[in-house]
Amino acid sequence: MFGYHGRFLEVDLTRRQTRDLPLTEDFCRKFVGGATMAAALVNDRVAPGLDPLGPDNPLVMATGPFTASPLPMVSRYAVGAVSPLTGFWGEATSGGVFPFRLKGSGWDGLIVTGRADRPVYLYLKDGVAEIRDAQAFWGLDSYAVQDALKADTGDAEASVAAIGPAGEKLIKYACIMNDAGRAAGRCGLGAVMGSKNLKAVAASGRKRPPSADPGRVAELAKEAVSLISGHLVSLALKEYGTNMYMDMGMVLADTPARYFTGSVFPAQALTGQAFRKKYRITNYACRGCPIGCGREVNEFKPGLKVDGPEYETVAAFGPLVGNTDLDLIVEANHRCNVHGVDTVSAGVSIAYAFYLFEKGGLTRDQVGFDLGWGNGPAALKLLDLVLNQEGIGVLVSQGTLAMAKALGRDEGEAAQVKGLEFPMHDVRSFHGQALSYATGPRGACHLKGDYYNIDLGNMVIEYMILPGDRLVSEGKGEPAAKYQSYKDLFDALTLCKFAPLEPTRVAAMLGALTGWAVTPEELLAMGDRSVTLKRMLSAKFGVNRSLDRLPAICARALEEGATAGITPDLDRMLDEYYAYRGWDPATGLPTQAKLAELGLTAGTPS
Amino acid sequence: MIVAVRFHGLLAEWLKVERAEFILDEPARFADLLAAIHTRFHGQTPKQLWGEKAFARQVWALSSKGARLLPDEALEPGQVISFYLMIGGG
Repeated sequence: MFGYHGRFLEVDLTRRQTRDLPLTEDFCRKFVGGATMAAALVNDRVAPGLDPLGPDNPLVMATGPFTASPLPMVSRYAVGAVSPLTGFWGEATSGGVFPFRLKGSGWDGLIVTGRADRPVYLYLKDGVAEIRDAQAFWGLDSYAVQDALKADTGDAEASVAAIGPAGEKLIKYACIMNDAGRAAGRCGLGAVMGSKNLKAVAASGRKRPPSADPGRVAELAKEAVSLISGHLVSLALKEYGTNMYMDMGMVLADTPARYFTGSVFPAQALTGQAFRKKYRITNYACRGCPIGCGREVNEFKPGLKVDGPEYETVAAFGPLVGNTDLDLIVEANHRCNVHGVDTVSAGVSIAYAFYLFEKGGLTRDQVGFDLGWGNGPAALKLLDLVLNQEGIGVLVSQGTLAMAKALGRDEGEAAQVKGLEFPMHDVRSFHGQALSYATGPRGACHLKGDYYNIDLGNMVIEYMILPGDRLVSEGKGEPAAKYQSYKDLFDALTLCKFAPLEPTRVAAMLGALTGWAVTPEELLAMGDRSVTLKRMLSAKFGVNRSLDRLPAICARALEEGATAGITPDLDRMLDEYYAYRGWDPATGLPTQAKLAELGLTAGTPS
Repeated sequence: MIVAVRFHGLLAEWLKVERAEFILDEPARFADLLAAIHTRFHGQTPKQLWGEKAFARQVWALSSKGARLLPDEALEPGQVISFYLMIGGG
């Protein structure tokens, strides 16, 4: 088989056993790799009633056919499991060097079940897997443990994906960190690792599966580098990182303020330009990436270089709590990284506490201090309570939905879909984005797909996904569904979401790597299959149309900014969406005919 | 007539100016302003923004009232127009 090793590593931590799980070529072509293959493997192993933090929840780390190939922007890997934050399918991806090393270790990925009786880490190198004792590393923060495990293996080329203290404490939105400050951030998959007493995975090696047509792969790689390097968004990402969007986001009312109750704030104080004026910023690139959107703040404190922050984090710890103090945002981001928590869910949950404080739903006695809008130090203090699991921080660490339930509040106040907190793109500003959030395979997700980018002027002509009026809902259902499928596939291949590559080119790349004659149509069908598979997986745990909703706090019309008085018509878009997907509009679940068409009726072969 | 423009973010960095004024013949449309910007700043932006059409497609121009301007829209003397680079990500 080309493009794949054709095997996963299966690890049973309870029995301390490892074995190879062979993959057939049919299975690979059907489920591609990355997050989609992870979903297929998990789907086959879980049943209703599963405890996400119990030993039976399989945790999958997966590469794809693109990973570690000569193509650019492909050093990514996906993590998947049933999410302890949402209770449904959860996935997250990350870049860096680790994905290269994971594929280089000789497997396409690993699936971990059971629970070790004491802390362990996995060391994979050149086809040899070891379960090693990690007692001495338990308690280390996410940066220190990466350094410590490189030293422990004595392998200078090893790259480590690890949990910090948050994952050990089973914080519901704990993430998995790798290559210093890269994060598989969303859905609390770090807590799943923690529940298994699995501190880290260290990967190393240079085993690469052969390509079907190496010459064509090299040619396509060269073309792609040129195309990516010359793209305007790439230039902007190189200059400012993802925070290039902050001022534009405010102008469009896309960047939320004061826990989604506003959209006007002093954006100039928070732009990429403002960061560069205040700090000495350097770029960081994932392996093989010509852009380098990652940021590092040098000398944040004497002798301390810290990672980030990304746009999402700046917005979540900035306007969402009314804060404009850059130092506080960088500090919050750093503490999240050190402990290993998702900055989006953490920031939104903290902002909800601010909102509750304003509305009387939380008092000074409950919190211990005041939470007024703009009180950045209070946001940082509350973050510390979350990270240290103290006081009100225990509740805030459960996410917004659990907070609303515990405090007897209207659940429409919880800025989430299916338990996953809203990212920093406001659904009133881009109606297609509203649909993407409501139907996202892992909950509110701005990456599957980032439809705001379409209505900003981007397009996927082959699939007739064209820019439209961002404030109009009609007609968005089908293109948003197609775009969701296309972007979902990026996490299967694996390909960075910032790669401006059209389906014909991506299909050619997949064909050159694997030898398959892939058309753009098959590519879209692969994405459709992936989204439907994840839907079926989450349906085991109760997902249906009733949960494809937007919370009132995020959907009700604002009184200020460019979207004042405007709200998306979700039901209209949902009907169009289900029609495209072949899902029953009454239940929101795939029809038998659609499952048969996608080859999903007989279960997933593993 | 004179109209004022404000360039934001990367645009300001690329053009090396945050504010500028343009004298346009009356009556002037937004397209006339784009042409004047192109004449004055051509070559200072990345090549992806060269040309009036490319520039118009990839920037978001707002009037002081917050409405997005379209090429055929009439301009008023003294109007202040803000330009943002129309790119998303993150």
